[in-house]
Amino acid sequence: MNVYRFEFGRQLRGFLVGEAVLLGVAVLLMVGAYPIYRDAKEAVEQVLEGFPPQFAALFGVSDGMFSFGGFYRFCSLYFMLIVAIMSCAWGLSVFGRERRTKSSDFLFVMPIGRMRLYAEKLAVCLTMVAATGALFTAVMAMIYRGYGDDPTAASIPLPRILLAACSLVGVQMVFLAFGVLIAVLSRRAIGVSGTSTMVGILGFVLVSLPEMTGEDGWRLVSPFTWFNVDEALNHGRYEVGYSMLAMIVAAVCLAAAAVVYAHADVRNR
Amino acid sequence: MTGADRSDATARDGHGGEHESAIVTRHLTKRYGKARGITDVDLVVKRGEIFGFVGPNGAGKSTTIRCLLGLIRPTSGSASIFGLDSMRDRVRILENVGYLPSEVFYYEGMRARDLLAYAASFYHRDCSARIIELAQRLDLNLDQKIEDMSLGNRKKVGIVQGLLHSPKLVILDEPTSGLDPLAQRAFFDLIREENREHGVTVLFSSHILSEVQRMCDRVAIIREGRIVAVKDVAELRRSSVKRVSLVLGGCGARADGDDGTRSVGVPGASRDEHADAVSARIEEMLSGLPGVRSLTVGDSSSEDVSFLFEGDCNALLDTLAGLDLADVSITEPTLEEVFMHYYQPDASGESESSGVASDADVSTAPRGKRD
Repeated sequence: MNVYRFEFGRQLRGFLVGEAVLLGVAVLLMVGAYPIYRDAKEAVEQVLEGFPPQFAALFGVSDGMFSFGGFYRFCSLYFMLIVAIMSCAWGLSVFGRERRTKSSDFLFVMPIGRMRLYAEKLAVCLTMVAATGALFTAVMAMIYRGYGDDPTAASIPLPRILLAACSLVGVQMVFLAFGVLIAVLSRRAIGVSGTSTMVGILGFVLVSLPEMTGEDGWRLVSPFTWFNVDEALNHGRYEVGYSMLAMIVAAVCLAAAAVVYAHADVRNR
Repeated sequence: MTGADRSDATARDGHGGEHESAIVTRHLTKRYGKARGITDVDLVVKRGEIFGFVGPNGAGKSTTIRCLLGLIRPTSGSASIFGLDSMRDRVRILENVGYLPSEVFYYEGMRARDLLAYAASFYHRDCSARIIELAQRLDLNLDQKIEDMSLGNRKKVGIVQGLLHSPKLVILDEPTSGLDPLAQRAFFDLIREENREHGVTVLFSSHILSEVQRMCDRVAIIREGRIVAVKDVAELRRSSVKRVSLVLGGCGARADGDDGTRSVGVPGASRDEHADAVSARIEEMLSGLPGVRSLTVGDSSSEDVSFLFEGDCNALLDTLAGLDLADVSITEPTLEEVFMHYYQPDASGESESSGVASDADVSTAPRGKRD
C-alpha cells in the first residue's frame, strides 16, 4: 500500500481544493440562488421567454427550474461539469505523474508488479471518487432538509434526491476512466488541467446535442446524459441501458489502460 | 546483511548455485519499428565481477540495460538475472538489483530523505541506517529538496537509492556524469567496496574508457547494437595493437648514403619547408606499411610521429630502420585507443556511422594524418 499512500498524499491538496469548489458551488446554487429564482419566478420567466429554445437548452434552462427538483436538474449539469473535470484530472495526474516528472525509471525498477502499481494508483482515484460522492450526497441531503417548507422539495422523497446526487459518481467514473486511458496512452507528458478541462467541457457541450437536434440517439455520445437526473427524481431509478453503457465504457477504458500500463515499454523521456 | 550473508542467500535462494552467472543474455534483440535498437546481444556477467559495458552514445548500452531491468520488452532473445527471466520474474529480480540511470529524475517537491524513504518502502527490510551511512559517505544533505539540488547532488541521491537495499547486482548506466572528481572518487571507492566486501556484481556502462579501465575486470564493447568484443581489460590492453611513438632525428628519413641509409630533405629549404618535406616522406613510408592506423605527424617543433600498429613487427622494424630516429617507444595502447580500434571502419569500406573514430583521428593531428 506504499504506492497508495504516496499517491494519495500527492493528490490530497488538489482533492481538497476540488471538493471545496464542488461543495461551495452546490451550496451557493442550491442555498443561495434557488430561493432567489423561486421568489422571482415571473421576472425570470420574462427573461427566459427571449431565449431561443436551443440556446436555453445548451445551458440546461427549462420551464421546470422554479421547483426544487427542476432547479437541481438545472444545477446538476454544472455539478457534472465540475466532477468530470476533477475526476479526469485525477486520472491524468495519478497515471501521468512519472511521465510528467520523467521519473518512470525510478518507479518501474522498484520490485513491484505493474498490475499492482496500476491497482494501487487506481485505488487512490476510486477513493477520491467515493469520497466526493459521499460528501456531495451528504451535503445535498442537508440542503434538502433545509427546504422542509418548500412544497416542491417536500414532494420528492429523500431517497430520490440521494439517488440523483449519486449521478455524480457515475459521471466521475466515466471521466476518470477517460483520464486514466489518456494518461496511459499518451506518448508525451500532457498538461493535467488543460486536458481535463477540455474533456470536461466537451462532455458539457455534448449534452445539448440530443436537446438541440431532438434525436435521442445523440445521448449515446453524451456521457452527462447517461445518468438522467429527471428519471432519478421522478421515478427513483436510472435508465438501465444508459447505466450499462456507462459501466461498459468505464470498464473497457480502465481495462485497456491496465493492459497498456502493464505491458508497454517504459519510456525514460 | 553482510556480504557473506548476501552471497549465501544467493546460493540458497533456489535460483541457482554459486557458480551461476549474474547476467546472461542470449540473442537479445530489441527493435523500435524500423529503427535499430540492439541485435543478438550475447552477454555473460559472472557473479562478483565488475563488468564494463562500453560504447558510444546510441550504441545500445541503455537499451540492453532496460531489457535486463524489464523496462522494455525484447523483440526476441532472452535475458536473465541470477537465473530468473528478466520479464517473467521481474519483481523477484528487482529485489536484488540496484540501478543508477544516466539521468536521474524524481518527483517534484520532495526532500531527498522522503524520496529515499519512499524508495526503501518497496523493499522488505529496514534501510534507514544504510541511507544515512551512504549519505554521509557521499556528503549528501538529505533534508534538501531534490529540485533545488545540483546535478551532482541529484546523482548522489540516485546512488543512495541504487544501493540502499544492499543489492546483489548493481547496474550503473553512465554513473559519473555530473559528479565532481571528489564525488567520483567516493563513488568508485563505494562501488569497489561493495564488490570486494559484499561480493556485489556490477554492470558498469560507460563511454569513458578511463573509468572502465580503473574499475572493471572484463569489458564488452558494443557497436551499432551488436557486441563486437568481450575481453578482459588486461587482455585488451595486451592485444597485438601497439602504440608506436617516434621522435625524429635532425633530418628525418635518411638519404641513401655510404652506410646504405636514405635521407629526405630539400637542399637550401627553410626549416619549416624541410619539416614539411620530412613529414610528407614519413607519412608516405608509414602509410604504405600494412597495419598502421591513426597515423599522426607532429609539427616542425617536435617532429613527433605516432600511430597504432597491428601487423608484422619485422616489417615495422624494417621501416623504422630507414628513419633517422632520436627516440622510439612501442607501448601498450590505452583502453581508449583499443576502443577506437574496434570502431574503425570495416575493411570492406563500410562507412563508419558511429562518428567515434573520426573524432579521435582528427584530434591528434596538427599537421598530417592518415588512417
